[in-house]
Amino acid sequence: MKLLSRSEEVVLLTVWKLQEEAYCVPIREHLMNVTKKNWSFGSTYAPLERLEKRGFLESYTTDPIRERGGRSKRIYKVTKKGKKALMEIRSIQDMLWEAVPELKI
Amino acid sequence: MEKNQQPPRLAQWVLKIFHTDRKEFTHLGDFIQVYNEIYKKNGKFRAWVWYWIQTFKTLPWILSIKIYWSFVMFQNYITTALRNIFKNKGFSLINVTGLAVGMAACLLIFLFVQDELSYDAYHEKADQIYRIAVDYKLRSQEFEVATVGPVVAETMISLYPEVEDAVRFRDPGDLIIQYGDISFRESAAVFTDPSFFNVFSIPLIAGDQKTALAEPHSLVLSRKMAEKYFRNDNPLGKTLKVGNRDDYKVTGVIEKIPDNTHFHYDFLLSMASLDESRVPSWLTLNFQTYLLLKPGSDTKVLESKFSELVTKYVGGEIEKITGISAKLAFGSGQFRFQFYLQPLRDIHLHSDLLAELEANSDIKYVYIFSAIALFILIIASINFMNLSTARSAGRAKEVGVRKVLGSQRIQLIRQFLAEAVFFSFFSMILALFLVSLFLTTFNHLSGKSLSISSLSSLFFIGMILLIGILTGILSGVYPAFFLSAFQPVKVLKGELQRGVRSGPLRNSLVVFQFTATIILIIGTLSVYRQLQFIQNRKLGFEKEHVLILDNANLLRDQSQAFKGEVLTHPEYLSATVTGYLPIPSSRNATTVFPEGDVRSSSTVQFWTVDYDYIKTLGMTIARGRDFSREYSTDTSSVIINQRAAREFGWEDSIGKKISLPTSTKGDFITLHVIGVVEDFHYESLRDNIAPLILRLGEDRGHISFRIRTENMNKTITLLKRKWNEFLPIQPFDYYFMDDRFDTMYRSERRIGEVLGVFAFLAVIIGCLGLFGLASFTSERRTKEIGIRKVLGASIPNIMKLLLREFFILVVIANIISWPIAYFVINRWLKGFAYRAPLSIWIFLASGCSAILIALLTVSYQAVKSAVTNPVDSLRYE
Repeated sequence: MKLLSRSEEVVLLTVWKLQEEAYCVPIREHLMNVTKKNWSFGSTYAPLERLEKRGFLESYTTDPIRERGGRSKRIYKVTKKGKKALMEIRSIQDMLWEAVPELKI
Repeated sequence: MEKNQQPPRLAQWVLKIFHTDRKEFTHLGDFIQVYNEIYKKNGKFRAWVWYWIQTFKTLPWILSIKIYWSFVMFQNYITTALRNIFKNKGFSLINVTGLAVGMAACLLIFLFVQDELSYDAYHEKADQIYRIAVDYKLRSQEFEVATVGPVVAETMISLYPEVEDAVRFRDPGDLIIQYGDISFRESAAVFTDPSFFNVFSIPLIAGDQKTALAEPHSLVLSRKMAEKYFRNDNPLGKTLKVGNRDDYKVTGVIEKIPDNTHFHYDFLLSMASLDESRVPSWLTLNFQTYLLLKPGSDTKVLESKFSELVTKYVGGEIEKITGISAKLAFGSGQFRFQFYLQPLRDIHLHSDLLAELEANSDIKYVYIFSAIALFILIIASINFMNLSTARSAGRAKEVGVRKVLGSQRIQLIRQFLAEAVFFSFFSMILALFLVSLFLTTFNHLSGKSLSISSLSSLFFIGMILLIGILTGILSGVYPAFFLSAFQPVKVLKGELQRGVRSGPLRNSLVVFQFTATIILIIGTLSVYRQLQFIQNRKLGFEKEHVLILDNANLLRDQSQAFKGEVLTHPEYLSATVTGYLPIPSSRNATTVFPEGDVRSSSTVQFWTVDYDYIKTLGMTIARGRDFSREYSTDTSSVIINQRAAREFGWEDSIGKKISLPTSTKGDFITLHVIGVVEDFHYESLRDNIAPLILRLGEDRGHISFRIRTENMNKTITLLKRKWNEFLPIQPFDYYFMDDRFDTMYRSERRIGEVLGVFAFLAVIIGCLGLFGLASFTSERRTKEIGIRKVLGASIPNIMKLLLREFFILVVIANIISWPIAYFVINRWLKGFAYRAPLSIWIFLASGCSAILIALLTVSYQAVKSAVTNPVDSLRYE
């Protein structure tokens, strides 16, 4: 199986962390906080859609909300396959980090 | 609860318009939510800026999604289209063949038209070059001629500052050119000035363009001719003997003059070799003269200065010859002489004057052919439209299902349009293949040398794409709207009966198709009829069985002896030695004064012939007598034609006198009229017969023999043997008068042939469509026919039922097309002085053949369904 890319991993983890609140606005905020970089909506939607298409995420829509101009939220959830992929990438990373001498700058 | 703020409308609209998929609402929601947060915190402006920035940042992604989806849909359209093509192989074949043939015809005509329009465009200074022409009137004679006197060029350069340069042409007709033992008769030779290379963009590939034609007796030839005469030797500095007289030194070589030029010469001889070019005459109109104007010159201003010039010089010359003052000559209303300018690029398509360098084409034919191309394409598109809508019942279910599954009408329209465009591009590929296959045939037909490589120009590729898309849309738009309008409920219940009966629109399209086709057929027949008429018209001479010997001037003073020796053989009935023949050959226009009256001068053709001229060519003497050796005075006698007698206003011409000026100083010789010859057509039948005078004399251009045709081979071998006895090394060239006569009408014949081919194509395409339509209708009416047969209908009854519908359509098409065709053909015939009367038979014949073809096409299907056993057609009920 193909491994997750780094940005996919970051997004997937964010969705997992936010749980029930995982729709685009908080996801984007969290990403900006963590990476200290500016994420546009476009660059947030793109990996979300890709992950959903590949089956790592699934989504459902809530009821319409007034603050959002009568639009609903699209809440993302990590699927079983997504969790597996996360765990896999984590174990690989752990192994990689274990094997190397201490990193000093 | 807090009030919601509305983000910028435009940005919102932008987001919406590009969003096609289901997530649009949640995405817009995200945008609004954050917008509101910023609005509260930082105010409206910040929020507004943020919204716009986000919109722009998100656009690329939205677009890529959109493209992805439209690609997916497009794939789906293609799949459906392919499935449909293979499901209905017959229909698809008819559609694609029709379209491909139509497009191929269209492309060929497009190439043709493009070539016609490109004439003389390649000269760098094309827009600054003008030819001087003369509008001339002398009493009842009026003509426009492309030549002027020899001094016009230099006078204009010196007088008018806007004239930068000028070049003259003097076409000597055929010349014998000789190099050592090799000698050929060359028709593509011209005397011209050294400025030729400055005015026209025809570069020298060897030699210096400044000096190439400066010296007397120097010449420039084309590469092809250099190879013909000198093989691989360097032609520069060699000498060629021209016209059996002078030696010319080769001073330069040019490439072949491009096809799309209004002149094609292989030999350019230096003008300085010609004494005639230095005669300060304004009235001997022999020189085609081109002016190169300074950029930005106003031709109107220049033309307005000409009248002064004419009064001064032309008037002066008239005064000198006739003694009539210029004022009197111009004031009398009997005489007019005006120079005017023709833009170089207009010459090929818009100029048909006397003394053109070559027969030009006509803008009329560009229009006619473009119209035909359009017609054929429309006929092919109509096939597509008719077959698609007729077949609609078959597609109705698909439309229903698509609609039920959420397809919007616009999507369906897009689908059908995409299908049509797909079809048309497929046909286009086939059409390109057809074009490359038939280009040589077309070249042969149209007398062009178009090459497939011109297809690869960027412009042409653009054209191909444009034609492809336009045809697709043109033929797809009606079916698209028609099919997408189905209501799913009705369709899926199977209630739909539309498309089965022929709708009024489909009928009118068939009528249109046949109208166009019938017009083309009538046009073709009329052109052929006019050609027939010309060829069979009483010409006043007998063109059959006349053999004309070329290069006869090589015999010099032995020509009469040669003629005498040949005539001892019984195969040869009679012969005449002269270059003046009633087919394209030598011409000599001269001013004469009937009855010696200098005030009533007249321009006539003045031909030098021998004793046997009238007898050999089979002309008829109307009054008086032929030249005869028995009268020693006949050397100062003339025979005139009837037109000349009318021109001079003579009731009885015999014994009348004609004065012929022999110099510009006013000397004359007087000639007596001994006979009047019946008018014979010596120019194309496009023109009226002009006054003509025949005089005895020596002109050795050709020898024409009236021959017996029983044993052609023997006759010709005999002549050749005799020729070789007289001239062992000179080429023996001959042709027949009727063949040469036919070449005068080559352009008409070409139009006829091209029209015929395209009319044929139109008929084929139209019939293909009709065939498809008929097979469809009879298929849909299988049950009806079955029931009718069960109830006692006979086979002829059924046939009548099926044929009637199409019969009526074609009859209507006839009624519409006749007046249109009549109008168009009348316009075309106006170009001829002698025209075949338009007969109703052409119209009837075209109409009937169209009906017949249509019925034949349909009857195959009609018979098939009429003879079907009703048991088979009703069994599944």
